[in-house]
Amino acid sequence: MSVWIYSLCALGLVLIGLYGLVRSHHGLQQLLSINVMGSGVFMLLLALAARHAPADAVPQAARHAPADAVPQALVLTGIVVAISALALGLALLRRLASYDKGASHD
Amino acid sequence: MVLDGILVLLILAMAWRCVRTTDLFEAIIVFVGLGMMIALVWTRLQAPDVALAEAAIGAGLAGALLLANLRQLPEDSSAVRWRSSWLWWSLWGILGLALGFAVVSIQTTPVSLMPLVQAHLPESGVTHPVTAVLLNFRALDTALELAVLLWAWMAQRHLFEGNFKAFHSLQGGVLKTTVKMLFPLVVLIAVYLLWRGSSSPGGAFQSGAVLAAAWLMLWLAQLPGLNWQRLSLKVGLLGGVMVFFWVGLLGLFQGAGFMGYPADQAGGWILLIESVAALSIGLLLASMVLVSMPNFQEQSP
Repeated sequence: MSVWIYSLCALGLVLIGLYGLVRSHHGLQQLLSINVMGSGVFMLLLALAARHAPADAVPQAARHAPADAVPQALVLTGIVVAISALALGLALLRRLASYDKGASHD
Repeated sequence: MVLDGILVLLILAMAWRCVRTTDLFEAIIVFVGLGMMIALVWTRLQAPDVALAEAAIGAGLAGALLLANLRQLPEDSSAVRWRSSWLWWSLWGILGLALGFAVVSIQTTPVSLMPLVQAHLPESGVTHPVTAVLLNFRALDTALELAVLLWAWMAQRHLFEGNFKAFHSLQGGVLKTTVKMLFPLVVLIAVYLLWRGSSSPGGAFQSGAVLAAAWLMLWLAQLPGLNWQRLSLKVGLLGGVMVFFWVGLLGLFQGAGFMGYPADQAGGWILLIESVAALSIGLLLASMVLVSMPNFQEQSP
């Protein structure tokens, strides 16, 4: 059941992120929006991974019926790639800003 | 169940606030809070490994990175502005409906790779399924992910070329003493997470993120300064990817295929790769944040 809630939440995050990406007025906020969209994708993956292990039965069943490990590994990889992209995006924004400043002052 | 509902509502509200607010500082703070809430969701979805990584990297380091960059960005936008039109709103709505349909239909196709993972777990050299997938079954993905991290760091570094020598230290005896006391403890936690990773949640990423925090503390207080020009540091930054691919090649010659290990040696190789990878991840993440610090200056201290 909670899988359904989180799947719909994932959908909401992707749509909110897309809205922010298009409607934000600042590059930094657009980067944040991309990350919100990414979180939505991660949430769908993990919600699907947890389907066979209902969250209500966590304490006893956790050791014997864990969530699917492959999507979990995918999301772990994804988190590190996302922070790499964020760092690079911020660096590009700053470089862009320094060019703009140079152009207006010279 | 109630908790799930509250979490979801909170997350959607925070995400909305994060993309809607006009105050960039507020957007960043809400984003960090959102990361913590999402880490809670990962624990609800029985993914403690991901929750650890999300809290450390997705919320902690991302927040440090964003705040460090905020002051150096202009207030006004350099972003492309889109005009609001019915076309955009209808496209957004259609995409939402299509995605909703996809989400609903995918629920009824229960495909899980978990039985396959568990069947091969004994020959992977570790007993924790997520670590087995990351470092044995899909080792190539993890190696390439380290390469992506390294590439992003190099690209970022070249964008700030010439700025990468020294920075103002934060001052104060209390700070330095606290950092001196905390540093060994934090490193101990990192080593523990790494060691634990073979049998339970934890592993190279989580350990690397904690190490990054430790190094950031040390560098900000400018205790026994690690010199950026030193060879050992460069080897540390590159080490993860290099060791990963060397061990991968070794597997090729031993007949286990590229990035494969013979079953009886797998545990040892995985531990070696994880240790070096954690070191590299920690150094790379820490220097990514550090290079964005506002008080970075050109001359040596």
